[in-house]
Amino acid sequence: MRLTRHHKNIIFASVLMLPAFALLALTIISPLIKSVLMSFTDYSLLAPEQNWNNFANYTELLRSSDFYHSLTVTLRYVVITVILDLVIGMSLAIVLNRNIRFRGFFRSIIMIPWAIPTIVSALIFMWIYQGDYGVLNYVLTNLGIIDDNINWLRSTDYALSSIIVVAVFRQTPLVAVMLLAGLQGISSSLYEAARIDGANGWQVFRKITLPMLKPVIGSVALIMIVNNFQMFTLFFTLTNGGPAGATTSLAIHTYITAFSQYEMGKASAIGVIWLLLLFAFSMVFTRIMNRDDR
Amino acid sequence: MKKWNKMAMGVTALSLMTALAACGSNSSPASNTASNTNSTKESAAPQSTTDKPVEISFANWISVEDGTKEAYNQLIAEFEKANPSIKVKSIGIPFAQFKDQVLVSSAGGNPPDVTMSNQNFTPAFVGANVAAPAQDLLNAEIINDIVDASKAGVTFDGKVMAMPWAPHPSALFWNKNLYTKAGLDPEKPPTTWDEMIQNAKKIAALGKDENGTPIYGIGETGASDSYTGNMLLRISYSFGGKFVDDQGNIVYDQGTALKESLLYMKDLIDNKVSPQGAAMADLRPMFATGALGMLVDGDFGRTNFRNMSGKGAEFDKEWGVTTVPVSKTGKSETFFTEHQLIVTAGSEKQEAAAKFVEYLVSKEAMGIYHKLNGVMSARKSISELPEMNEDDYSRIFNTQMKTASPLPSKNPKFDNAMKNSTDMIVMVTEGGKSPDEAIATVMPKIKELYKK
Repeated sequence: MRLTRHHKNIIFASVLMLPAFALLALTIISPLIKSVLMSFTDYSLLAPEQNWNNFANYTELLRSSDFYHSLTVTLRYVVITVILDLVIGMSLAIVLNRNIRFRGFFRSIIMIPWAIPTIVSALIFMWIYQGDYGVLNYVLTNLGIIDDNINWLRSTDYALSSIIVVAVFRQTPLVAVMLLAGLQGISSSLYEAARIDGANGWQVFRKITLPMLKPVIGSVALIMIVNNFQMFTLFFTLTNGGPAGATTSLAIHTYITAFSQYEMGKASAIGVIWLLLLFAFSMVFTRIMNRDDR
Repeated sequence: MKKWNKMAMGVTALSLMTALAACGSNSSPASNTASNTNSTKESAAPQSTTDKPVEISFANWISVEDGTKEAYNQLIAEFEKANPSIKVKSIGIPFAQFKDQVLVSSAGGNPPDVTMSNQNFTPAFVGANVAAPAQDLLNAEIINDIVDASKAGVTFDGKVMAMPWAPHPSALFWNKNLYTKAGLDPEKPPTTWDEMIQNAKKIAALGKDENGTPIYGIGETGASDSYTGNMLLRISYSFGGKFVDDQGNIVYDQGTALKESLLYMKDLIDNKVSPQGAAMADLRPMFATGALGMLVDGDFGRTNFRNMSGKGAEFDKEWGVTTVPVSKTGKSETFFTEHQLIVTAGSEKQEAAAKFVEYLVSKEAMGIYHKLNGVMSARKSISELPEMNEDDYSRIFNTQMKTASPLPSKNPKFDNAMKNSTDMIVMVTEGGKSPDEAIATVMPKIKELYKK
């Protein structure tokens, strides 16, 4: 049988994709399937037998106040962090899109916080936040803003906010650069036309910049939401979920369930619920973005 | 527009899959069991001198800690000199991640040949079939020489599963300079609990030093880690408390000991006599830099303080050590932690691994470790040697060991229970809850944890 050009192209494309697919299957798809299967078992590191326990892990989780607490902590962290990322990132992008002096220099140095590994940022901020010797308390005390030193990472009132500050410090440059790329793609003729029509700065921003940037903002927001939902390093390094569970995010809750309580089945169930939640959110988010585009 | 959305969806899906995949394990529990029971044990020593040396891996935290790094290097060098057919490959893991990493690597079919452990970790290693019975691998003479309290802590279902290495009873260190500044006799440490609190409050009243650094009277840990839980349990011992009864049931919340311990913590932290939320890793440098009047710590304290102060042995003139003051029970109550050694069930070089463990607990090795770090031996015959009791420092810790209790850590979830118990300190000191409310909130969770 003689193959048509179309069939040949399909076979050629498949061969090209095969190595990448094999790699994905080995490193992601196979462990993913294993995790989902494990979530229906009572597998524990302390008891090597894996027995199917129906939906016991899921029913237990959905009745557990610890699970909802960690979900709430995660949502608070994600919402506040992403909003701050976008607001500060947009402001920086607009400034860097203007004809300011040393623009190239500023565009370069703004990336430094993002280039620093997360763990290094966390360790630097641990020193900044240190209760007795930290520079933050020193500055705030000298400015007369606080009377007594605050133990930022060991206080139930401030621990989560302190983590959010580190996250925003590290992530905002990336957001700013992505938005800057979007801004540079907007035709200057649109701005010129708006100016001729007498639009002021706010109107230009609201009627031209924002609508034109919407796809970029949507994509950036989605990526930042997903990344922050998965944030583990900052929570683990800065507070390890404490004090008294004030910063126990879903990632930390999963880690504790798996490696402190040794309940791998239950930890996998948390992962599956987490996956479904994020997947549902991504679907809705993308649908909303598409609807508004039409 | 569609292109952007497709890209975003693609990135999202990939990220989600990666996140979940990270929770998965490549290990098969069944294969883990198999490796524990059926692995072929290789002979330790090569058959001839031309054979390649056997390499054993040693998971430990002492090679990554400044205070013990030198001792580690000397111990390994001496062992390899005496046993040229065996090479030791260090797997240095920070203490905070140690248990998790050893459990995960073992469950993944890649256990170290020998792992360090302690009284909190060993139950988990035994429960997860990581540990091979020490009594089947080590010389019976060594097993019979283990100090009774230590032996009880490593015996599971009648089998000695780990080799106790160095017990660390906690005693009270005091800073003589701060005692003098506070108008206290620098040579007279407290002998009772009340006296200790009074002294701590007098020192805290000094306020700040010349650099504006706050001075605290005593350092009690208040962080969200299991060591802080151990310390809370130590305090409750002084008020007559205990964690489990003889049947292993949790009785921590019975009686008034836990409540009194939490009130003690609240009093110290609210009045800035002890820093809020401090981990042991915060308190040690504070003591070494003259910001803490007193600290309950183990026998490795001296080396740590010498290093952290930057003054070396000269710093010894500035502090003293004594047994923990007597409280309600009428005796010096404290606990001892213990470094232990485990030959893993999954090791294929158990003979060489056992030889290495036997060396580490030998008189020669303990001599090196004691000389460099002041640690004690968990072997009767060695702990009584004059060279292990050569100064007041050693004598104080040997005296303290006589009244020190082992941690009731037989349950694999003990470490987690200790971590959870620290929530009570946070609730009482900054959550505005009474000790009764904190106990009523946290203790059911700990009991539930033990049931699973």
